[in-house]
Amino acid sequence: MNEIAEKYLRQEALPMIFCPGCGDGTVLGAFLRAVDELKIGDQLALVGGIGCSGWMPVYVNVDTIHTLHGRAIPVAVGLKATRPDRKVVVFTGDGDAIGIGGNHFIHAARRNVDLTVIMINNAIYGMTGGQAAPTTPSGATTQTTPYGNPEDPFDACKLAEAAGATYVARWTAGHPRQLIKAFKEAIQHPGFAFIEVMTQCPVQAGRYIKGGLDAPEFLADIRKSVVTEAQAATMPPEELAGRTRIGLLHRSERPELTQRLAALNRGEKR
Amino acid sequence: MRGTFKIVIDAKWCKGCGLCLAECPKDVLQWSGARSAKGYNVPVQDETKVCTGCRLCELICPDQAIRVEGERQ
Ligand SMILES: Cc1ncc(C[n+]2csc(CCOP(=O)(O)OP(=O)(O)O)c2C)c(N)n1
Ligand code: SF4
Ligand code: SF4
Ligand SMILES: [Mg+2]
Repeated sequence: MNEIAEKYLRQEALPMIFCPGCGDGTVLGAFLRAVDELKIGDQLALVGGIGCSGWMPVYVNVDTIHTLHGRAIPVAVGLKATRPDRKVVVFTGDGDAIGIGGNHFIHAARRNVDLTVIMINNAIYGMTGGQAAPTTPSGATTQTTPYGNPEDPFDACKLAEAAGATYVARWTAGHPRQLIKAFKEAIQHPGFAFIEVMTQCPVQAGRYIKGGLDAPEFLADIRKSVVTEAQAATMPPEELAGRTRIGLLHRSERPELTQRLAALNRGEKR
Repeated sequence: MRGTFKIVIDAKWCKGCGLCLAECPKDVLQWSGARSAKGYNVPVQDETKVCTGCRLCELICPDQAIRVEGERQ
């Protein structure tokens, strides 16, 4: 085990529940490295939703709340409102964040609450056995769409930006170095920061959507499906078609909710 | 000049997923073929290959089982 994991993980809680080759552990590792570089371990407060991804903060030896399905964001908003000194980070799944928790998600973005929301997008409900999520690609076979998904998925980053998020980025579990940088930026960003991480779920998405790809094959498939802005600039249109844009997608400045509330409490008009 | 690096894989945490093998640009990691106490095939460092200390294996390992020892010069 490496030094970062020894320093931050609750050794007594290991091994992590994730299946072999699941991207969740890699993303957590990148997060811990970002925290270590920023030296903010003692200011952290982590909130997890329900799902495989909701377990990620549970292994970190800091203050952590494991909430209800879809409710990680409202709990985090309450936490941030009462403890603005904390760096509050939410770990949520695609189903947790934009399925059952969709309304909480858009309104926290609209209010520009100073949170970092890390959404693990494995394009499926992993923990419950591979049901279709609002992120499952059209036509994909899952446990609940045996004849192919008749719906179109959400683009969570577009949703976040449209709702008012002031930092929006998308990376994959195959970009740990970029994730470390993005997590550092998001944690330091004074407003609603959203990072979508596309991950391989070799067990549920792998068997249902990807026809049995193993973890390395699945990760290679994800890497092939994405493109950075710099890569897109030189790519012929036929190669670009159907690829998902990764990188920093949006950044802006707007008054932040808990600071506005503090000003109100001081008797200033807003 | 490069340093000499040792890849230490903790058999207690490794789940034999193979991501580190696929990630290494220098083909340094190989399957050991031996089963860990948990029943996983844990990779080992192939001493005939040259590790550059890039730490990609350490970063990709979901179970944080890998430690790269040695500093890049
Ligand atoms: C209110 C409620 N409804 C349903 C469930 C069952 N449930 C647990 S996890 C989950 C889906 C999780 O999917 P996602 O958020 O994408 O996380 P993943 O496991 O894929 O990381 C569901 C439906 C629940 N725990 N609570
Ligand atoms: S079901 Fe998928 S997301 Fe959940 S732990 Fe297994 S591989 Fe990871
Ligand atoms: S990436 Fe980690 S868990 Fe997977 S085979 Fe390598 S050492 Fe084992
Ligand atoms: Mg999911």
